[in-house]
Amino acid sequence: MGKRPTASTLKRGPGRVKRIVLFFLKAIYLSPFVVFGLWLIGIVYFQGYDFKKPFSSRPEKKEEKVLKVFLHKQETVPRQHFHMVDQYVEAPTETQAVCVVCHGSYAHSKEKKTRAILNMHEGFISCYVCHSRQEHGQGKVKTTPSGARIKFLWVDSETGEFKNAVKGEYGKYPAQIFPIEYSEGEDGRIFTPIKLEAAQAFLNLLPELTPDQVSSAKAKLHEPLSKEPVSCADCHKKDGYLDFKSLGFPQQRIDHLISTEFVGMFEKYKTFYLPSVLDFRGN
Amino acid sequence: MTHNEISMAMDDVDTPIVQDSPRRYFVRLNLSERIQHLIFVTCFIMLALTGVMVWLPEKTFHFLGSAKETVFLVRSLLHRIFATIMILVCIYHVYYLIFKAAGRRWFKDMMPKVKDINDFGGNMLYLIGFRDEPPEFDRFSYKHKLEYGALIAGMTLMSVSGIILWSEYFWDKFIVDIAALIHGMEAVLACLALMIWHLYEVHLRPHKFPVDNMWLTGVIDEAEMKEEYPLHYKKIMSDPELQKIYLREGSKGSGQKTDSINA
Amino acid sequence: MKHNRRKPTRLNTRWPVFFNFVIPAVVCFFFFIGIGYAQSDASPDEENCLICHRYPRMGRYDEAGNKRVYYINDQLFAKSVHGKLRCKSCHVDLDKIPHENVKKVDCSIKCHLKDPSSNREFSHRGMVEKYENSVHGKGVNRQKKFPEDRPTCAYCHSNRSYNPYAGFWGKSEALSRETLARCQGCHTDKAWTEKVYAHFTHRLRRRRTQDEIVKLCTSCHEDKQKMARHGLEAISTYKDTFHWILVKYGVHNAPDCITCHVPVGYTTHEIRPRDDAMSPINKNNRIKTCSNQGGIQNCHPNATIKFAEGRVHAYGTKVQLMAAADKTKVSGNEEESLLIVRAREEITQSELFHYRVLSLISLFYKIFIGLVVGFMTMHQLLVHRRIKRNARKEDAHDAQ
Repeated sequence: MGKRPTASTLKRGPGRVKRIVLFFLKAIYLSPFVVFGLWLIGIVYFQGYDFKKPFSSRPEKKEEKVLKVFLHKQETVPRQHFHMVDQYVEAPTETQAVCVVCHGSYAHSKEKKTRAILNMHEGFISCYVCHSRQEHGQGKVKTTPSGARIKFLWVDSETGEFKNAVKGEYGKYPAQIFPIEYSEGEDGRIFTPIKLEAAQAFLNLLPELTPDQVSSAKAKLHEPLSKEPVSCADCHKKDGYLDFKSLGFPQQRIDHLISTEFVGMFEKYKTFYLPSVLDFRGN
Repeated sequence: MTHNEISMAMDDVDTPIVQDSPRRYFVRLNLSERIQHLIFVTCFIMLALTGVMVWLPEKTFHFLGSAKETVFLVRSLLHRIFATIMILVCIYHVYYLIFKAAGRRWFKDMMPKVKDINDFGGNMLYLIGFRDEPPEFDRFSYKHKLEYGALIAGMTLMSVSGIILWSEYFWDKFIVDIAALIHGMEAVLACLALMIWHLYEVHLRPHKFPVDNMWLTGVIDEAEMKEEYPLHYKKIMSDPELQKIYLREGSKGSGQKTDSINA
Repeated sequence: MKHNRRKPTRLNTRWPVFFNFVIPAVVCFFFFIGIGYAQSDASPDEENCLICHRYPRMGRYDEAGNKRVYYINDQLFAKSVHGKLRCKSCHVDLDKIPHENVKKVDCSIKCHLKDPSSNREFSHRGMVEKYENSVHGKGVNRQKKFPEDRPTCAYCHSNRSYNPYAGFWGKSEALSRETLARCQGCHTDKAWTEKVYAHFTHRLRRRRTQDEIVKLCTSCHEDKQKMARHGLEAISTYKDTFHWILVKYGVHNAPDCITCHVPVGYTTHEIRPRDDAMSPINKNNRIKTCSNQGGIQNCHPNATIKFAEGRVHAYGTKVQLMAAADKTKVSGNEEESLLIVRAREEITQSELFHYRVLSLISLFYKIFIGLVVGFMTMHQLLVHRRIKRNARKEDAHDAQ
């Protein structure tokens, strides 16, 4: 086709900047047409094809919960939970123990009689509190293996702030109790017996390891943990492992926690109770 | 067209020096045709937009919230209203083709001829680079004729299938299924064809980008006429009767009638 | 524990957090405000189950890796349809701690509540019997295998809460305090009146939106494998219909699964197979289902018999099998062969013909659109190239 003479063709070669700007303007002008056209072609020829599939590394989970809008995603929840649950069932937390990476949010599963009641504590007590028992020597002073002192404080689930007391009751708290490693005159930091990097390195290696290697790696990984974790009766007694008062529990509640009502129940559990060391379920 | 001619034409247009002969413009679309086109374009865009809304994926509707029901009902209503207007315009166009002189001329020029096949071959050779000159096109080239034919066929299919879908209860479900399938497929074809063929041809191609005013003014200038429709240009210049119809002079604008002038 | 390996940090995207946490939290917030005044109404926990079960993390993973949540929110429970019942009314024989030999809840047992109409003990027995005679139940279900695929009561039902009162959830979805006040003129026991009012009003409208119904039904019926072993085709065929588009847009009274399969006058518990004379989608009953459901819902009021008798869902696996398979051969795959057997019974010659015609048209258009668009794109690219080349030539010429 020939050339239509216009003023612009006479003034040859607009500046480079102008050309780039023009190019972008052109692209903005044309892109709706292109996108619309491609979309139409997609409808005719690629119906039902998931365009995101090649780009997403892991397959998206099917929508599991029809009736359970309240539940958090990720873990498979029973679709048909008959009773209504609220957001506390699976409140996302910024700070949680490394253990959750492998063991999930209901870590206790081995011992039939106690698993549910132990899991119940997970919402507000970090795994580290019980499974990394740091009572070196007799007396109330708790220290890490390296000698730093340990205290127990609430750690805010959203902000990671340390708090002496939080509002809430019956497992519905905006924070979890963590062991805090500190020396005199400083705020301290969360004491983590197992490092996240170690756990993730293990998970990355897992597919290539032989069963023997897996078990020795697991043993190595879990080495810092206490062989005998804190048990029910260690806390639910007068002057127990946790100082309820310094964690801000009201006196009435403390009396309840160490009352005969509770302790009587532990007696029932005691006969069944076997301290279960952390283990990969199903392995 | 040789280079000399081009530069002459350029001088002709771009030098604002008053010349002996006034600037000449050639009518491509008369007022009635432009109005028909304008209504048709509006309807087409609205129909396409309201139509493809049924194909939007489910996720799209989350942000609409409770308004989505209203959106759907308005969409359905608009689709029917614009469909009706579009069909009426097409019926008027048939009336225009039969009963108006300009319409009959349109129809005569639009009839396919053997020349179109030759033109097509010639133009393809030119585009590929085996020839230096494009074939000389008459008022409507093979491009326009193909497009017009597709428009008639598509319009018929879309109207018929649309009316069947509108009165779905009256038909065998099988017929409704076929109508729905054709309506959708034909819509995709129409949208794609319109964007690639028509939109590129009249607005998007270089020298017309971003928009060519012809669809509003209805006229093109002499240089463009010579270049794109040389045969028609020659015919007009050699026939005073045709000049009365197609030639305008003076300031750009098709409304004013001017006496024919000599070529 | 492959199923719950996850990072301890907040998860990859923000939106899931928003949808799964923030919105529920907000909803819960309003919910609590809504039921706040009723806290005194919470059922006294006579059995003291809540001493443990009010802790949100009470629960465990079961052997399949699914979460079992043993948590009860007592305030939500008190406001629910079963709020008057004690835990042990349904969870029988849970006398020991720790619980042993836990049985599944049986909805057909007798409650210790009196049915005011008969003054006898209330029970869902009648519903359960009806259900057992339905297509989902033991009675009618042709395929006796895989009983675990049949939906249980709790698969579809949850312990819904009563509608809240006006003011918190907007007017249309809520109960009216004004009406309640009128009742309380005579029935002076406020708590009782409130309960009864909430009870009989919670059935005044459908509790689930059309979208929820489709999701609930498709949660099973979309599962190809599960359907195939019962000789059924997966129901993606619904989403190819215009009915689904209306549901997608949340149109009021849009046709979801139960609109046609359980129209006005039928009950969901008694869904029957298509060839049953009582089924609303039986050929003889179709015209009523499409055009006039007991005078209450008129979707296609002028529908002709021809229209109503046609296929509603798009053509699915069965027709495809019939069209493709060598009809004499039944493949070794048991599930597929069951599908073919049932397809032979169900798919008529005319349906097969319709399917063939439709797929031919579809194929024609796919090829035709491809050819046309391909030709056009090539042509316009050539035009574009030629124009650019001419311009370059001219540039060169000018430069001289």
